[in-house]
Parts: sequence; C-alpha cells; structure tokens
Amino acid sequence: MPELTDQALVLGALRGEVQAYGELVRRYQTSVYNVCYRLMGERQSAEDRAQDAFVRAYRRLETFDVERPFGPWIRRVATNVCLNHLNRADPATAPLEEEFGEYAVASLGQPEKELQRAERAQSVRAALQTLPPHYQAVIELRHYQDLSYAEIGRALGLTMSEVKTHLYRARKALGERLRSEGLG
Amino acid sequence: MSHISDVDLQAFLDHELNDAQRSLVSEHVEACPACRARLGEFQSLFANIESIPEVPLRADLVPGVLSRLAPQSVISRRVRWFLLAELALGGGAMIAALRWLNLTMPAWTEGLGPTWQAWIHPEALAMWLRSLTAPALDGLSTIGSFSTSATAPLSTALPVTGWVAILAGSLVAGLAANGLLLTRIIQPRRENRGSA
Repeated sequence: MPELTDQALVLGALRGEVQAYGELVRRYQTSVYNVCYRLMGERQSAEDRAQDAFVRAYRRLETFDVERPFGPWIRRVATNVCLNHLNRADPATAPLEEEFGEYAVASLGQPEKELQRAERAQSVRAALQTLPPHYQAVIELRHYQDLSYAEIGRALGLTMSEVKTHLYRARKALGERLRSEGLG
Repeated sequence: MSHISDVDLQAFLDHELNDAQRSLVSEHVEACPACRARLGEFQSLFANIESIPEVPLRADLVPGVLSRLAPQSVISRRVRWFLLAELALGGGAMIAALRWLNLTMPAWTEGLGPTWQAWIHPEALAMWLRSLTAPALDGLSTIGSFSTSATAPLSTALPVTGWVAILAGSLVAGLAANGLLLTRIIQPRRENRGSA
C-alpha cells in the first residue's frame, strides 16, 4: 500500500481523522523536537514544547496552505512556541552539563575526531543558549530552517531591517563566545 | 577604499543580495584582504553554527499529542455541576409547588398516586425518609433540627423562606448552566469564523 503524502494526511486531519495527524506527528517529531532542543537546551522541556507545537498546529490546521510543504510550517510553529515560552521563562535555566554527558556517551567508541566534533557542537549549543530568545529565534530560522530574511520577518513579525540587525548581533555574540572557547 | 559592512557581508553569505550587489561585494572582497578575512571569519562562524547534529528523540510524541487532541466534552465540568444543581433544586421546587397545591387546593392532588402523595404529605414523607435513614442513622443523636431517631417523628417542614430559597436557587442554577452552555456553543463558531 503506497504511503500517503503529507498533503493527504493534512486533508485527512482536517476532516477530523486524528490518526492521519498522528502519522504527521510521527514523520516530523524528530525535526520538530530538534528545533525545540536547540532553542530550549533541555530534553524534557524540548519534548514538552514539541508536543505543544503539534497541538497548536492541529488547532490552526485550517490556516495551513495544503499546497505548501508541512515540514517547514510545523518547524516555524515550533520556533514560535519555544520563543513564546523563552520570553516568559527565567533566562538562566539551561542545564548544559546533562547535555555534555550525553554527547560524551554518544561518542564512546568513536574516533577522536568524532568526539571533537561532538564537543564543538556542544560548545555551539551552549553559546546559542546564552543568546536572548529573539536572537536565538533568528539564528534558528536562518541557519537550521534555511528561511530567507523576508520569511523570518513574516514568521516573527519583524521588519527586514530588524531581521538583519538581529542576525548581525546574534552572530557577533556567538562569534565572540566561540572565539573565547578557541572555536574562532 | 571603503569596506563592505559586516551586515552586507553576512547578507552576501545569506544570498540576500541582488545580482548587482553580489557582483559588487565579490569584486571588492577579491581586491580587499581585510574584507576577505572578515568574510572568511563569517564563513567559519556559519559552519560552526551549522555543525550541530540532530539528536535522536527518546520518546514517541504521538500518543501524548493525540491524547491532547481528543475531543473534549461539549459540557464542561462546571456546567455539569450547574445542571445537577438545577435538577436537584428543580425537583425541590416541584415538590414545593405540589405541597402548596395540596395546602391551598386539596381537591387538585387527590387524584395523584400514592408515590406523589408521599411526597406531598409531610407525614407520609417523614415515614418514607425515616424508613430509608433509620438503619444508617440508628443510634445517632439529633443533628440540627432534623431528628435522626428511628422512633421520633421526622420533621420535614420547611419555612416559606426555605421554599423561596430553593426556587430562587433553581432559577439561578438554571440560568447559569444555560448561559454557560450557550457560551460553549457560540464561542467555537466565532473562533472558526475568525480563522477561516
């Protein structure tokens, strides 16, 4: 039996077929979770926000243009869910030690190069966590979701000029942080 | 020679410049070691940012999401309580009305069956209640104005203000329950129109 397209699943979900939406969740949960993990910096919170994103997307499914791909849309929804949460939350709550341990375990038995790559990724993740939420969001949308400046502006309600400024300042802060850790 | 700004160098790497602007930046960077070095730094930074690998998901999110999508009861818990209160108070109001009819126009209630008569006549109701409560309450002393003794007559008489309170409570509970129900029905329709 051929696998249903995302479009067919969205149309099914719009008809009230909850299982069709379940299949969409299954397909995109990892990428949505990774969006949330990059922004939240903690696994449990990332899982919670990923769930929130899928629930919010379901309730707004009627506003989704079925002619467009579902993946970028749900990832943008997840970005906004995390951004809203970060704006409300205490900024100094990212537990990075747990993540480092996880990377170290994941790299056990791997060549040294792999371990270094994992450590570098961890440093970048830690540096991202130090940014204010709106800077994190523009980095997420530009570098991980490959959105144009105009699309970032639409997703976050910013002007083109604000997008450019946010990106510039976020990258500057990231660059300084990474240089201080020898990753210049 | 003026240099290219950081913002424009980043826009160049982000493919956000038009053809003319791209050519200008390309030519300048080729001729300017300082801007070339800054462009190299940005390229390195971009590569670092994008070096984060995807992490695996530990738990399947599908069951949790689907459980939150389950259709919720149209009647909320608050409305259900109001409806129950309305039912109970409505029943009390009906008995009050029948008793009032019995007192003012006895001929009206003569045709009713024994069950209804039991509810209307205080003595019959007292006997019925006593038969129900006596086993459980046997041995307990009097609580408030209600006598729980199996041997003592059970007083069911309520002052007029009591019956008025029951009627008023029934009316308020009914209005509140129906008002909340209407809100529940109308609100989603408004939301649907708004998102369309």
